[in-house]
Amino acid sequence: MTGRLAGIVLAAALTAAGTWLVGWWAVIAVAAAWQLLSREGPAWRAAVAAPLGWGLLLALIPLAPLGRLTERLAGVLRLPAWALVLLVLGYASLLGWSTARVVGAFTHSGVRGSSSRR
Amino acid sequence: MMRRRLGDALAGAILLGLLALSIRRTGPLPALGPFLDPANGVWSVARQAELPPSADGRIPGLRGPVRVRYDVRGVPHIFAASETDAIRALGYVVARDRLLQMELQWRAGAGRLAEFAGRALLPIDREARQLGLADAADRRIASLAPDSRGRHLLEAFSDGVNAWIDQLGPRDLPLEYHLLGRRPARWAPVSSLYLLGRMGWTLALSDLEENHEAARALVGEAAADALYPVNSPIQEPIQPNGQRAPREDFRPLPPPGRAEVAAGRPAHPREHLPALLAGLGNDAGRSLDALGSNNWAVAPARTRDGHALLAGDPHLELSLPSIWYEAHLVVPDSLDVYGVTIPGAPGITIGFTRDLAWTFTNAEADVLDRYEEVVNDSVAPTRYRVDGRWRPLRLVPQSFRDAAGALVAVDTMRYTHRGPLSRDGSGRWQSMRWTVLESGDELEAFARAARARTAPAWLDSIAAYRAPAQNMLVVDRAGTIAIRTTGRFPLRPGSGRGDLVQRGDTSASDWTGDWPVATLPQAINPLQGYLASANQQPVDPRVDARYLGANWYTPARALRINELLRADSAVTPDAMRRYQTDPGSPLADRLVPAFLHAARRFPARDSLQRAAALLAQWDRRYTRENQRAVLYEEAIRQLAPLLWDELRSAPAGLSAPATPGTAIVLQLLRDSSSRWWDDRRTADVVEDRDAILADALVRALVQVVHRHGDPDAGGWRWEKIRHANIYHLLRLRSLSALDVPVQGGMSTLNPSSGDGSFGPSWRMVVELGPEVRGWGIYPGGQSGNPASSRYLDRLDTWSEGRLDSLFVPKTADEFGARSRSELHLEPVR
Repeated sequence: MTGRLAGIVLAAALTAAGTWLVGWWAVIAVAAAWQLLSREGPAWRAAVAAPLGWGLLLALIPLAPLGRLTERLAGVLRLPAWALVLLVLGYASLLGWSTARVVGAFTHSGVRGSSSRR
Repeated sequence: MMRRRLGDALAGAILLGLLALSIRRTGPLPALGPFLDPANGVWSVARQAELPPSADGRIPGLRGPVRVRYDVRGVPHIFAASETDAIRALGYVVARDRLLQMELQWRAGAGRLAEFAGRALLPIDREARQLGLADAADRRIASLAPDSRGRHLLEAFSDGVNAWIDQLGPRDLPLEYHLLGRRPARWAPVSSLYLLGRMGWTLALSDLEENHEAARALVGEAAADALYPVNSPIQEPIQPNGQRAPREDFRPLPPPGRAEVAAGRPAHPREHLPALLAGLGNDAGRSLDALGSNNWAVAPARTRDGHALLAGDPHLELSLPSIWYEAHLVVPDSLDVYGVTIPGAPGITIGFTRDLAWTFTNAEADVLDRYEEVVNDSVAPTRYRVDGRWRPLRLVPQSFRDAAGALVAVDTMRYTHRGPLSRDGSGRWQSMRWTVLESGDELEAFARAARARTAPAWLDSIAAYRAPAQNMLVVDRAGTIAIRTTGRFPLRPGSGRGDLVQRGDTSASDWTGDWPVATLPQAINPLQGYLASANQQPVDPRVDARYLGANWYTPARALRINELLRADSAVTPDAMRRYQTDPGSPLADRLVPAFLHAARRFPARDSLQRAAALLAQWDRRYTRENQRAVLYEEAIRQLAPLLWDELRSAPAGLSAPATPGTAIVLQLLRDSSSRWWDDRRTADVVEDRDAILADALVRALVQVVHRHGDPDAGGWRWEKIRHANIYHLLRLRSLSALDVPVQGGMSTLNPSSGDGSFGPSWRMVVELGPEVRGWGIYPGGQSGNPASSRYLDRLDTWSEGRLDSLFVPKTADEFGARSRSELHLEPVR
């Protein structure tokens, strides 16, 4: 249990650092790499780690300008402010989960393919 | 197993869908990946919102280090070793705060908005190109000598802007670039000229010829001349005429005459402008009563403390961010100027030094003429005829691209020796001559003026300024007050009038020269002890009858300023501030009694008596709490279609003429049985003045009760009705400041009418004592970043009619607790 949690925290930290350095692709890269390394680990871990990483980046923004931006940007997009934050985190979560799941499926079929050839 | 495969397939579909949404725009949605990215996407806007305590930057071309200190109001004070270095730094700091605004403005002037924001803006681009603004700017920059000061300033400013742009990473982009998925274009020296041409479009594009033609088609020549006269029937001129009261020159209005056949409809660009972007040519909501500006100066003899005072208050389109940016430039022993600049212009436009202060109002003169040309081909002409000979047209191909770079339209601009040629809806070809397209070296004039030490020297320095023409008011520390209507004013042949379409097939129609500067309307230290301008006719025609324009603003604001200044012989800076939002209305003072008088004629009409009783309760002041101005304003609105029914229908091929000015209504009030009062739609009745006024008042009451409820239920409070609406440049409502209550209304010194999107854009008061003192405010804030505390921080102060005290340090070491941030700019080694 502690190991899983540590893995999620580590993946979240990597997602945050990767996003800071190379951009949003880091979500895909970290989720895919994690899935490859951990083989058949459940994809939901990526679905949790990615928004945690992005949430961490949001939390590092000074609160007052973040609040003003959220309110005004939500108005531009015609969303409630909370829905905008949810959109960001949900996007990261869905991107992480779907990447992990797809990579997992390929990994799984690849393992099976190798087995059958033997 | 099947379930797992289904799950995998679903995940694959979601991933593909997300990737598609993430990497490219979908309709109005930006590409989601880079947009939502909390490190490099739109959220980074919040990280950049506030000025850091300290920052460094590098600018190519800088000759020495420049120190920029921001005070607590977010105003950059630039301390440089040379003027060009100060201008480089100005480019850098303005771009840092207002990059999007700068890009929109130069693109609007260049007719290249569609390249930035998509083909929906193509109509605005076409208008800008058809007006010849971009072509004029291109020719202007090509004509600047390599060693001219104007070119040096433009290049220095461009260096600064590009130094900022070049170091921008994705996380430094302004919000709107994230929304549009764009990168800022680099700045070119000519970009500043595009932008200044755009100001000319706002301030000096007139439609006198079209209006006169339309009116003549409906009511005949004599009536058209009387409704849109060359001389205002109320004279309160800028150049004092020696009178201690306004001079009214009311004459009987000729009755509506027989309609004359119009040759066709002159092309007029404004009618085609779509309501897409505020401040980019959209005149929706523009009201003559809210445009224009005020300025006035008081000589030491009439101020309490014995120092000259100046108040400036240009009224322009209100936008977020504001059209103005506050800055202070200091070059030891050379330049020390504080004021506001138009983001993109390489210098201070309105402001003050330690020795003098200046401000402008728009001259509203006629500096645009139209000529009906004879061309060799009605569809694609290549030549035009003058004095019996064909001359070649200058053909300039135009291409329009969209945001993806795809070619979306091509066109050919044609020019006669007068200016751009265009065809109207009825097939007529008209050329246009416009001083804005032939502007002079305004930048050099401004740069020289900022170094002047006295008001007369300042006027000499700015004499080369040509367009858009301005009423330039200046005061100095020695107590001199002076004003001059400055700009290029053409001398025309014949009657000299420019409000009629001229024949293009003869050179005898061409301008014969310009007014010499010495003969422009002007005054220095007048006996009355003050000077004031508010876009009115600048000189009394009894003093100088030369044609300078027509259909002038009704001088309501001029009347009020003069009234206030005549009554106050010990003016203080605070009184100057109060006058800027004075709620009095000279027009209401004249028109309300007329309504009440009319009501007394019909005592049996209960609804009329009720309306009159309510109107009589009004003190004729547009205070926020008053509850009767709404009835008066509605009565005026109702009066227009009843009185001017002759002008309502658009004749074939023409648009309906503008509603005549209130001064003409005041003129008509003297003639109770004029045929103009008759509403021709009521065939069996001939109405007179009082019948029409009474009818308008009754209709107004019905409308106001319908919209705002019973008179004393609270819904008639002015602050609930009259608002300023300050739109973001992209008209995004959540980035705008809407429904801002204001004190003022139609024709008050703090004008507010129409949709409230025009109004006072920079209120300033300066006292030229032993130490200069300044106060100022504009609606909005220094930053264009909507996440910044400096985006809207000045709005409440502006709305309440207060001014901020301006901090004007002599050196970079005087800040103390006033320092907010510091920026060190170094040359690129």
